[in-house]
Amino acid sequence: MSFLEERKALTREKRLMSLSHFNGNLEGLIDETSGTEIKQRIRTFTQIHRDETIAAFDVLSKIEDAFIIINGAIGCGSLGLAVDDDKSFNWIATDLNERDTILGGDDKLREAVERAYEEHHPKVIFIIGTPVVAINNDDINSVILELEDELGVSIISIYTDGFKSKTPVTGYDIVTHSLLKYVVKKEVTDRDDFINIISFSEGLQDVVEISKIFKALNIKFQVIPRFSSIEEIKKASLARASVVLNPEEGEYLAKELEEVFGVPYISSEAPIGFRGTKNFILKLANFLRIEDDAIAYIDEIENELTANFNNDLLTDKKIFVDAPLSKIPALTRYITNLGGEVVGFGSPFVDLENRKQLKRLDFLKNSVSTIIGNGQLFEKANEISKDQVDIFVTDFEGYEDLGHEGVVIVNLRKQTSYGFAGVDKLSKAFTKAIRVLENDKKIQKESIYKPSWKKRSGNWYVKQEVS
Amino acid sequence: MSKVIENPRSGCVLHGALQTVQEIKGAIPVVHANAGCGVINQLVDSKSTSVASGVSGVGIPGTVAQERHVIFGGASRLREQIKNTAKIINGELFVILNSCESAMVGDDVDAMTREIVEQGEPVVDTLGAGFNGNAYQGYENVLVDILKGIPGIKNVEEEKDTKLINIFGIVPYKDVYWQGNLEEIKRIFEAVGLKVNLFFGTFGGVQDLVDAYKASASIVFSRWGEAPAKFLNDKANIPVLNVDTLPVNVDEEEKLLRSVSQYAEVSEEDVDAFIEQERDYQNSFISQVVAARNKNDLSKRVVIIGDEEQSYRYAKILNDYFAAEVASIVIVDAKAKDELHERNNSDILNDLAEKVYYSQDKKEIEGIIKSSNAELILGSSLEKGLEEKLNIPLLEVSYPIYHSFILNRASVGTRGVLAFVENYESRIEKYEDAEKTSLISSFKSLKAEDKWIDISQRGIVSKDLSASRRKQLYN
Repeated sequence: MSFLEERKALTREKRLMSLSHFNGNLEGLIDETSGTEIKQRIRTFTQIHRDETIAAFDVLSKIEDAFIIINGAIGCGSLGLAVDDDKSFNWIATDLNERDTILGGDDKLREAVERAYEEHHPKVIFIIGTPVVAINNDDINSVILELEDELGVSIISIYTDGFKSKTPVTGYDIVTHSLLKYVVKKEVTDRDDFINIISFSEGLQDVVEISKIFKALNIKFQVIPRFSSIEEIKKASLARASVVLNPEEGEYLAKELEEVFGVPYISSEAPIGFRGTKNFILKLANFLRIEDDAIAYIDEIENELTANFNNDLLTDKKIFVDAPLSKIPALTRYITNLGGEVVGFGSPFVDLENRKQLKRLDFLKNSVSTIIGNGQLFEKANEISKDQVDIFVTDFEGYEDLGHEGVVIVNLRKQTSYGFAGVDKLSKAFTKAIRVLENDKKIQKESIYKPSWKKRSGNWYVKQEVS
Repeated sequence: MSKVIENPRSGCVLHGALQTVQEIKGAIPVVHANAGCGVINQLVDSKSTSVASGVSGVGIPGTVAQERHVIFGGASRLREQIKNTAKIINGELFVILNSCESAMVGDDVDAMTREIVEQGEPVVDTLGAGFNGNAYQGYENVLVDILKGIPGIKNVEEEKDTKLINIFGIVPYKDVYWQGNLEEIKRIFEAVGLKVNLFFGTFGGVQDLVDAYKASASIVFSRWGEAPAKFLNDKANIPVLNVDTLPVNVDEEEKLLRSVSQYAEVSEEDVDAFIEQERDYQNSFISQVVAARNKNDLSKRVVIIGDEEQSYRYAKILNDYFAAEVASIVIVDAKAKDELHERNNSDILNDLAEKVYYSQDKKEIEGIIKSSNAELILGSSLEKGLEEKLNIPLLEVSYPIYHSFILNRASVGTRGVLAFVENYESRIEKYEDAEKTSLISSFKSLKAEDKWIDISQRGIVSKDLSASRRKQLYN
């Protein structure tokens, strides 16, 4: 059944029983998540983390001919300041104050929409919801109804509120829901000859790398919704098929496109490492019946890359990998191939869909430390101390504090990690990390965490939820 | 009526409080809000100027309030969080920062704080919700609330230290050179035997907040320092010295030290000796600045966009060193009418600039720059787009500055001002060099078109002229 019939996207907790609080080992997590239900847990100590409002903003801010209004207090309205890579990016904040929280902020919202339209002439105006508006239950739809007719522009409410889900990727689902409902073309007459590459959180360097593969194989494509235009999103229903770069983020869109508009979804693992990239390409090639071209392309690049591949690069190094669960199999396999010991991994959540990734981790010991949660650096500091981790690989931002725990951080966000280029770039990043590790031994660091905490069991503050 | 804002740059009360607490060594913020409130601040700060020196990023403890906390209240979750924060994180002071949600829900945070303080934990809370104002207000609110709470959790000495002074009004992050500026202020006061409570950065910390009660005076450098200074004045009878801006030359340093000597124990001889030394230092560089001014056209017409204190200060430097013309000052932190603060700089600012505006709205700022005929913009990275659009060079001096790592660079005192002067001169030279390159390239492209040749003293005439037109011109 399509979820589009719902007025707004369901949270990941409601749709897929996502669990974002767990601390234990791989075997324990598999046990915990292999039934028909996933039991919820809580943490009694937490650290701040991204929420769905930030996730939604992040992807919408990369759609080139749309305009964003952040409907909330001035702090939420400052989110646009985080866009440091696009001088032409503008946004409007409704700047709701105390009076607006009592009397409602619809006048300001109206003013914001009118300004956005008159000054920027966007193809679509997105209104992002924030906690103040959600608690106040402001009537956003009446403003939309009134102004959509008057201005003749599509105005779309993004129903984020910042507190209904513990899983930030719910923000991507909310965006997906709105795009499918209000932007994507409903009448599908002729299919076009391109593939949708679905990307929600990837950096430009990774998207460029995947685009190069498509170009080399002479496959027409469009990237949506990140780095796209409204016209491209509209055409998504006309595509020949869809692929997803990170399944746990983009599968919702791919599956809905398949179910509602008949666009086949070519399911694959994230194109990371030799095997991940090869599988990604071969599945696509199989669908398009261009296997011979694909194999020739893969062989040529693989030969070149394997010649320079150092299987002993990470020998004697203990590594913790923190990334979306969809990327964990590819990343941990890659590190193992470089001779490194994966002592643990962390992911923001596990749910009924992405739990299949756990079965792909059969090359790891059942006892590897497993932390499920958004950020929660204190548990990672505990693990670093217990397992004497050397290198901490992360796909997330804001982890600088962990540098004080004696690890070197390899941040996947700062380099290409996708495709064959990613294989080479990651290897170079590890070479640098080893150099830094030696150097850092000379630098005195002070952990913010108490020694007594590091001696405790890492799951001390994870409790069974009592409803 | 307040309006909506395009590209707002100031953040909210929570963000200001968070930035402030993060930079007090030994203080640990505990954000009582939904997961993302504090992260927005972290995302923005991570893109600009510097990395937090204390607990930072997603390492900041927070209650990560969920729907049920919004519906049923989040006080018990807060209690649990504070209790466990104290067990996990090394801290001398835990500061609970409220948010829009906790304010709207009406959580009794004060009661939670009292409860945990009774158990001997050093906890204070600040009640400002995000929608109550901007980050600058967050700075003043949180300082007042911490100072209020300190006597209940730390041993505060009654006896005054006649050589100790409090420094207020330099807002971490919002003054992009805050670390360097604090260091420069420290250098100036210590040179005459005084001690300073800086509160923030390398030389600050929780102990400064305790010692603040025994200072002999509080020096306030911007309107945002008024409230904590006033609080200490009311509570501990500590005199307040309001100063227009941070000092930008030796005369202002001297004036500052002489004023402080009315409250703190400073020897006249020490001040004289220091000022003489500073004057020599300043003069040795002024001749170089004068030479640069004679070599290049540095007396520009400028627009300044930034905080009130910084804009005022930059306008003075530009006047003093370059006889620049300040067309407009756009103040992004204060409002034209501010009944909460005593400071009223409008007359002084109007003397320095032709026009003074109060706005952080991108469209309004663009209009102001366009109508100013400015040759240079002093602003933030948010003016980058306008720099290109209007072809007016930009010198980035105010928050936020992207892709720039700033540690202890200063822009005040005789040392810091020189750094500003260097940047100003260099920016103009680079722009003029780029203009020259562009001129050469356009000249080359004109020549390449091969339409212009010098054929006589009567001027240049196009090759493409028709015979009749050529005849007409030459006869």
